Amino acid sequence: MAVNRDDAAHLLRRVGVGGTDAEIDALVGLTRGAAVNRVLRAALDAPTPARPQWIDDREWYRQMTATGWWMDRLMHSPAPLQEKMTLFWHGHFATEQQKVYEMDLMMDQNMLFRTEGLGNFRDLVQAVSVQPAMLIYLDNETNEKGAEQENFARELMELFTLGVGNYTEGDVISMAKAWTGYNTVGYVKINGTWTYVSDYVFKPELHDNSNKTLFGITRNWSGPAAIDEICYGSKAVQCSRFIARKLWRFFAHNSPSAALVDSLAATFRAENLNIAELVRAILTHPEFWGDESRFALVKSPVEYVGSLVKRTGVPVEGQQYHYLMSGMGQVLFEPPNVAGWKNNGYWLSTATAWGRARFATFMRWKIDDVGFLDSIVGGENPAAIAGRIISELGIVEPSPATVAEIAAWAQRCQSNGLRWSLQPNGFLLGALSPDFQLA
Amino acid sequence: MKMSKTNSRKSRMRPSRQSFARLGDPELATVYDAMCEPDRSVDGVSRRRFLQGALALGGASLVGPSILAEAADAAPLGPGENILVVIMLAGGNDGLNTVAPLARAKYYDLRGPLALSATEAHGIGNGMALHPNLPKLKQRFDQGDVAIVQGIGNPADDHSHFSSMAQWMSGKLSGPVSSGWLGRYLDAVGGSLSGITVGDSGIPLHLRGDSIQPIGLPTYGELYGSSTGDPWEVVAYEAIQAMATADHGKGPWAQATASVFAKAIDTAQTVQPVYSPELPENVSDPVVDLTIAARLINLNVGARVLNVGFGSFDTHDDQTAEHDRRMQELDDGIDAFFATLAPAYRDRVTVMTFSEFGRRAAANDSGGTDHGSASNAFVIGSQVRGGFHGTHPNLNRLTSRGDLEASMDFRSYYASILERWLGADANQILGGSYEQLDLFTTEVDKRTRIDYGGDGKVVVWSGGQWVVVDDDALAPAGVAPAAPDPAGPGQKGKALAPPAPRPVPVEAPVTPSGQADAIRRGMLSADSRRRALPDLDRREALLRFSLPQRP
Repeated sequence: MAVNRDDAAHLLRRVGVGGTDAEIDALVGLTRGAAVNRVLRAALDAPTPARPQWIDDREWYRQMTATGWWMDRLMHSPAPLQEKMTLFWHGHFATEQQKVYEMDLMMDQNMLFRTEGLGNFRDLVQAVSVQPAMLIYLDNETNEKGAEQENFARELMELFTLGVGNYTEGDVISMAKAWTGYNTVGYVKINGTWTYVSDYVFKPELHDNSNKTLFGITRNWSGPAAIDEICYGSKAVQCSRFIARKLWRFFAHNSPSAALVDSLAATFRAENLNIAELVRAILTHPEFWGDESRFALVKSPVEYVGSLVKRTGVPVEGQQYHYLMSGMGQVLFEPPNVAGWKNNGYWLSTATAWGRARFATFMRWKIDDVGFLDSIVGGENPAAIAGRIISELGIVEPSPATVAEIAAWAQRCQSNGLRWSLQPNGFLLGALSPDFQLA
Repeated sequence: MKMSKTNSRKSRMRPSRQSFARLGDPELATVYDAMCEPDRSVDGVSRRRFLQGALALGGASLVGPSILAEAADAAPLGPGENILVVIMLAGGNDGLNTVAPLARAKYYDLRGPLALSATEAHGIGNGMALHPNLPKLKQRFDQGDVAIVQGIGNPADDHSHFSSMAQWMSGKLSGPVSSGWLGRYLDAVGGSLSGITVGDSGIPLHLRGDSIQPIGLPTYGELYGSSTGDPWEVVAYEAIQAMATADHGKGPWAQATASVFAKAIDTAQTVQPVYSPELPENVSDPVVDLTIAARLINLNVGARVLNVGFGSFDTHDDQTAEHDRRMQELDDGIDAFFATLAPAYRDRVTVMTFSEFGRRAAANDSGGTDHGSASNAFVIGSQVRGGFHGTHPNLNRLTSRGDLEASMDFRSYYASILERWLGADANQILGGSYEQLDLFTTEVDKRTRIDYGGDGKVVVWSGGQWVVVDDDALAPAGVAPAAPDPAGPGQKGKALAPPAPRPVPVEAPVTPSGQADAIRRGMLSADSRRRALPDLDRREALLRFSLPQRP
């Protein structure tokens, strides 16, 4: 089935923060499969980008730098899906800079998501589990034999691979034992000074080598063996379902049927847990392109801000992203907790609406500097003004109600001597319209 | 065309959650943020989710549009309806140095250089004294307007900011949780502006209900929708509101999104008056936030429960300067609140404080105190039965972890507020029956001081036991012990001189915890991390295995 302009815009909203007109046009006329393949290929073939250059030693400034760097990549990378998957895994394997407290460690994880985020799921879980960011965030750095720390063990199953109901409390205890000794180096004396060394290290004498019963199987489990068991052993079906459902909800809509999840999960397993193939199965599914998915997701703050900045070209700094997005409920490198961000209703409240409006009002005085909407001179037909706002913001399939309200507003401005406000507030109305805020 | 101040091209940006991220321990800021998610659309969550404070798991698709049905009605409260203002002391306030048992030698033993000065603290009887930076609260105490609730604790306390804050906020110790204790009260009473938090840190869990949507008012104001004096803004507001009533034909989320923006505009117009006249500048955040809270009450738009939080109270090191500042901010904030509150509301408002835990009884070697257990809280207002409630922990009988021992479940504190101030069904809200304190009075003489035994007598801790004494025997102002204490240098009738500060060891001490603290001293600057440090000798030995390896 050939992709039309609306379809292409839909795909680019979901695999990135929306496309430019040129990016959208480049997909028009392709089959759905070919359009998805192009997006996937770009992500799979994308080179590993250079890490952000720290311009300040302070961790807080580094976070601002990384935020600006990542937002820029989300908007302008030729492989947007690579960045979108990185965002997905950041919310999935959530860690927070406020606890990890070293941006280099957060960036190690971020780069792992970027390079392995479309690879083998088992390998990704194995790798992220022993990176310092995760060891620190979920306290496995202090998980040792005789003093087990269950935090990571529990979340590994509950949030990362299986979901509630697919393991027992006994499994949590065994999993914690299996993960004993997978620590950071910790505090060591270097040149007479106690220094924290965050590198991952396996400490055999702190590892519990006893037999443990995990998922009904008793043996001397190691941490990595337990992950393999989840991904490829007795929990493979549950694990594949859990990931398939979550990725579907991220890309398509919130209410996949059990049959749909099962079929995606089966594909995922048949493809040896290759994440790219699961994503392909989602993006080529008829339901992804249908009414069920179209406009079924509210843009996250990253998507909202990214799409506004990308469409307008207004320069925004990392610190501005950070502060303005926190008012909307999403700060990069600071998911709210280990469960990451939710979606849709999660983004909608009076306070977060003020947060979004605050960003849009910040932008409305900057768009003239970059010439956005400056073709509006004031005396045009109100419907033409509405049309220009809609099209420059990249809103496809606008609702007639939105177009009519913007046109009616333009006419009121014209008849009340408020023509000067058509550009800044026309931008604002478009940016705050429901049409623009849906992904 | 004149542009209004709020829409000048200079975008005034202030960091959100600044109080926590800027001042505090990163761990604390994390905890606080976890409790302050933008969403209230939650469903049941697991125990672990509960403990992580991750309280908005899934289910978002199940709620959505229906939650937005409520209109921004700003129905005023009836004349007899009471209002509660909650001040959250985030990070674990040091109760022992907020209301200090200065008449007990053991206090100086435990606190060493951190002990408050007996000559500067404000004696309030019972051998107790308020922190030196709480002079205005002392005046209110003398008027009988301050209740001090002692020995409050959390039965499930595990020294974790995460779990303790989640438990205090939700009013539950475990199990699925989707709402806070005051959120469930607000669910019952309804009203779209009944629950309001002031500050830049999101909606805290204790205000979140299962159906109610609390409002978060940022300190900086400038709410979109409030510039009603500017015609060019107003026509845009009206267009946005019109979008909310139109049928977009794009599914429920388009309608939901349009509705929430229309509601934000309505709400902004309703509450905007609290931002004028100009709020005080160059004062601490709690002063501004509590001023806004009082103005909201004066505005009479139906606010029943208001929240202001600040911190950090997580004083692991160099506590004195930090805690002094926090106490000053608390004193100034409470004073600003009552100074702003209109006389018509004086008898209808009660202020209460809470914190997730107290601090370790003994000072650590970093000039601070570590996470502890039992603590105290203030309840302030004209209808409050002033004085002491509950039992002060015995300083000579600490828990095995060296904490003050709680004698009262924090849910007793909540039940007292819910039943006796808000007139709510505490059993239903808290899911159980808890003993209630006699915190409020209308006809009883407020000057009657409630003492440890509840018998109107004043007691002090002396010679290892409680001794009943005449209040007048305590001098000056009750900061000296009534009898010589064999364990301390104090003597009757004189202010007790604190012992000389304990020398801070230069070499790492021998005990594991001492080692940890020694490392903290060396390691933990403002940038450092704090977490449990296991035996370091063993750690050092492990250097041999320091090459990263995967088994």
